Amino acid sequence: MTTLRPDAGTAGVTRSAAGTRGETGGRPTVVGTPARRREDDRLLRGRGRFVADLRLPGQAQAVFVRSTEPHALLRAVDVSAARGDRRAVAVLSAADFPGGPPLLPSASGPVPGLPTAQPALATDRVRYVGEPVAVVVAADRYAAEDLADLVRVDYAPLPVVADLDAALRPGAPTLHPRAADQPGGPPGTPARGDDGAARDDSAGRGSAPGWGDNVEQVVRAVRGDVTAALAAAPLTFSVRLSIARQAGAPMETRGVVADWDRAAGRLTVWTPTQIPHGMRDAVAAALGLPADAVRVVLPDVGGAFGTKMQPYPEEFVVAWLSRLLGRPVGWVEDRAEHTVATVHGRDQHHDVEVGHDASGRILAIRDRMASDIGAYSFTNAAVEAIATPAAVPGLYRVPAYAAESLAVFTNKTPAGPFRGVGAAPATFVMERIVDLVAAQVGVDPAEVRLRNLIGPDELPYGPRTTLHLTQGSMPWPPHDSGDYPGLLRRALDLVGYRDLRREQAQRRASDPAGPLFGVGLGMFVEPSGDGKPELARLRVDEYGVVEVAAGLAPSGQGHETMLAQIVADELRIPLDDVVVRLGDTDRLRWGAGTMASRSAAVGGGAVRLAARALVERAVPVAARLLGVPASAVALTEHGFGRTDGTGAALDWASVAQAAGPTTGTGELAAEAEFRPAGIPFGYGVHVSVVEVDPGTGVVTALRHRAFDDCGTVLNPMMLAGQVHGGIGFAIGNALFEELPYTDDGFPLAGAAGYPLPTVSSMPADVWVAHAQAPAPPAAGRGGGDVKGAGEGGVIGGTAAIANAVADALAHRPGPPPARTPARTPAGTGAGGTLAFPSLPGIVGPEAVTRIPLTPPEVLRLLRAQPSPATGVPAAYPANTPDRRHAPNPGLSRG
Amino acid sequence: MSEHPVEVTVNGTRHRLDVPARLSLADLLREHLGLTGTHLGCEQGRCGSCTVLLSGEPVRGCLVLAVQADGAEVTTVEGVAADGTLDRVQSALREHHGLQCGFCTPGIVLTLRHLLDLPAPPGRDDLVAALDGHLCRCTGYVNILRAAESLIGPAPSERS
Ligand code: FES
Ligand code: FES
Repeated sequence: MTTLRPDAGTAGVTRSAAGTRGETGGRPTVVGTPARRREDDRLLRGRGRFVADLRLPGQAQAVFVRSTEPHALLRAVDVSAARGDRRAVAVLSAADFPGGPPLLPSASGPVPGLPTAQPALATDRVRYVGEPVAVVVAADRYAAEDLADLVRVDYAPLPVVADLDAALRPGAPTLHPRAADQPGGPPGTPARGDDGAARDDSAGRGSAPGWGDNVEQVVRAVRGDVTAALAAAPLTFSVRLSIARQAGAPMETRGVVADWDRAAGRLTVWTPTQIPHGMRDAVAAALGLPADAVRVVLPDVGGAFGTKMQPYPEEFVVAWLSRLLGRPVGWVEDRAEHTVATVHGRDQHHDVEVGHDASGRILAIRDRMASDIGAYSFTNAAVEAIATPAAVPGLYRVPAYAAESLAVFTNKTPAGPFRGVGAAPATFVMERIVDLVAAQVGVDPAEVRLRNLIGPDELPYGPRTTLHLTQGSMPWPPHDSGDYPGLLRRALDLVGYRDLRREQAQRRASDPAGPLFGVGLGMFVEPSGDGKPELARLRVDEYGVVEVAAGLAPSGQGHETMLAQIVADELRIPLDDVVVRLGDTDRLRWGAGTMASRSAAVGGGAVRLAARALVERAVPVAARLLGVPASAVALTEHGFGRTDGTGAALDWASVAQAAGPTTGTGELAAEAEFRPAGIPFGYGVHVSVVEVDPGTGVVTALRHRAFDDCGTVLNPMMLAGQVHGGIGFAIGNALFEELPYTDDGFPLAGAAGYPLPTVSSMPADVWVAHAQAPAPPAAGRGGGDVKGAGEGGVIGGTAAIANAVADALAHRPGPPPARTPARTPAGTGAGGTLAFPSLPGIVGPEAVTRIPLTPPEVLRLLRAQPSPATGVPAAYPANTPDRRHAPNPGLSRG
Repeated sequence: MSEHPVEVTVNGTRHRLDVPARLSLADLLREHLGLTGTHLGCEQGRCGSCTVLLSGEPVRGCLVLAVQADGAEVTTVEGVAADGTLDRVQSALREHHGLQCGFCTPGIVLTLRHLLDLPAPPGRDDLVAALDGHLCRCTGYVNILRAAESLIGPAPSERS
């Protein structure tokens, strides 16, 4: 039966505490301690306030009518019956928006002003099941749902593009046809040809301009000369690796309440979002209001994971409705809607070619990847396509690398980010490659990693990769600091890796028909933040209470606690004297939000800088009160005192009370912006131990170990919680999460159908530990030396679990498949410290190449006939030689 | 829509009201009684976040009709720490960091509360079986289970 064991804690592998834990000036610091969360009390009592809990006086409820067709022309949207019902407060379709409904921004699109943006309500066409077509408002949701049933939509079905292969097939139906292809096309189409031609040239594609095909954009990443390196490599293989369509699936769905104040001409929007200021600007733009006429307020948020980091049609429409009706309007997504109305992610194919030598050193990788971004250039639809290509080589040297990444339209819900965006699929691909190389050369996967990892003396590593986007090229940020092989060695020691291999061999010998036992490694880097700055503001009231505002927008991570810990230490005050108020755009001029594992590193950095600025402002005031020069004032846990220790100390309240009269500013406050100088890279290794039932294909995760280095640990309890949650995602992503569609574009995951892990899907034994390699001086990091940790669990964990299953399957009963000697000189030159001769050295149909590894997929792999290596396995070229990857300078140079 | 009289005692307070036949118990609590601690994560009986105790038994508030609660006693998360201090289930979840966003938490609190109130003390398998009825996307369940285990005695790993 499942039991989860407590963490090993940090002590075992912590090498340096970097001066944050422990004591300063006699008082223990709270940074670095497992301070219990201030959020918890209200949440445990049922006093959290989530968006669905808000009921303003006079609030009406909206329900959306959504497309039931994956691809169709809208012949008519008949709202008359619904409007005629006495319970109807309002019923709107696109036709009711003068000038058309607002378009969703396309932040990740290749060019501004995209004609492939989604209208907030469908105008002439629908392109996915779930696309909003009309909205109904009534006094309560029960009535609104009744009325929604009365809206009649007349669809003329169009040919459907159901997946990547279908979308890229020559002659495939197109989601966004060029004006020229579509006589009298919809408004806005004439610009397509021009836009497209310009963009097409810069992308170097040979295909027709515009969206005459289903490729939204092409992104390339280039390091060295991959063509030459592949040609020169002693050994090569090719394989297609794929990740299914998956989703962030927070337990709280989306929702919004909008309240238009007619008298003030101002709109207040409560919505669970990761980007309050971004949401403010987007809603203001959609309604044609100045930004200061919109206030976004963040309620408690029941998980987000990236799904709530972009505006959606519903926010625009509900805000519009509130202004139209002059009363508050709310909408809460139900779970069935969520599956089709909130962004999906992953859904990638990677056709990779790998060149390596007989010792397992990887010399070159070429990756032709495609990401299914769904039906529109939705706000962040292409983010997975953009974030994946440069991330594939990860923490390995890989001297030559080139990737071409296609963002591809299909008739599915638009894509967007979710936990581990880009990094998780990239890491799955790279970690599978490493294990496949290990199999090819007959060397243990751990040893192959050690031969390929960037060494501590090589850091900072890069910038070596150049990322080519439509609008320009940029270097991929260098990996900053760490000790990748050091961490791996310690991890191998701590998990008893050799013992695990022995256990595996023993099990195989003693019970060949029993469950297959596998061990897998997953190593990753986790870029913390995206380079965006963050803002924080602190003020002290006359009672000495410090109020903190920052641009962060938490969704369960414990930001209130984390920021209070930082402030309490900087200001030398008790935690309880710090009040943290996040997510109100009226409190702070701007903010970026919570995403990309940036909150502790960047948001925490801004708060730290603001706290230091606050001390700087307070010192002269204290000096005047104490009658000494500022240089003779010291801040201790007793307050501001004389450096010589004589006399009484002043508390923050006294200084705040005196600040106004003394400084003339009226308020003891400070604001600081933190612009990270670079992107700190957290890194780590996960070790997964699994058992595969050869009869049923069911994978049982037995043990999971996570070791990471995320710099200074602010709160080890919450950090472990982030990693645990990431491992939960990893279990789901690796073993069963999938959003299947039929061949004609209908989603199969129905109402409650997206499969999520439960407690018994978790490994019986989980622990996490943190190392901290010496990092360079904390320049540009808000003095914190903090790296992100929110996503490493899913990034490393997914790869480790997939590799563990692959390892188990490689140890299936029966003779190992024959190798092709010419391609795989088994054992020769391997010379590893960890001999691992038993893996079959091929990439055949029995190799793990796709996640999730559901029981049917595992059974398929178990039944697949291993085939001798050919260098170009059958799995590879299914649809690569077509026009979708036209030659381009980056890939064919030399 | 026909209305039906319902008399229900929620967290010790008796309420009489007329409700539509199709109103769910969760919506009765949330919309009519203002007890929004009962969360709706799926309205399909799958996630468990709407769990309340109906005459002492845990039920999915989204799958029970308000009229079915006629004459019954209901305990919601708001009624667990009625005297002000956190109940031991709530304290354990806080102490072991068994919640992050807290959306799933109310249902878990009530399920554990129920288990601990049973005449026979639950074993670890009972905890896992009961918690399998709750979805949580934040915690990976590690600390939820750890909190639950702490309520039934020292876990083996905590002795080490
Ligand atoms: S809301 Fe009732 S089980 Fe999910
Ligand atoms: S704590 Fe967020 S869903 Fe459980």
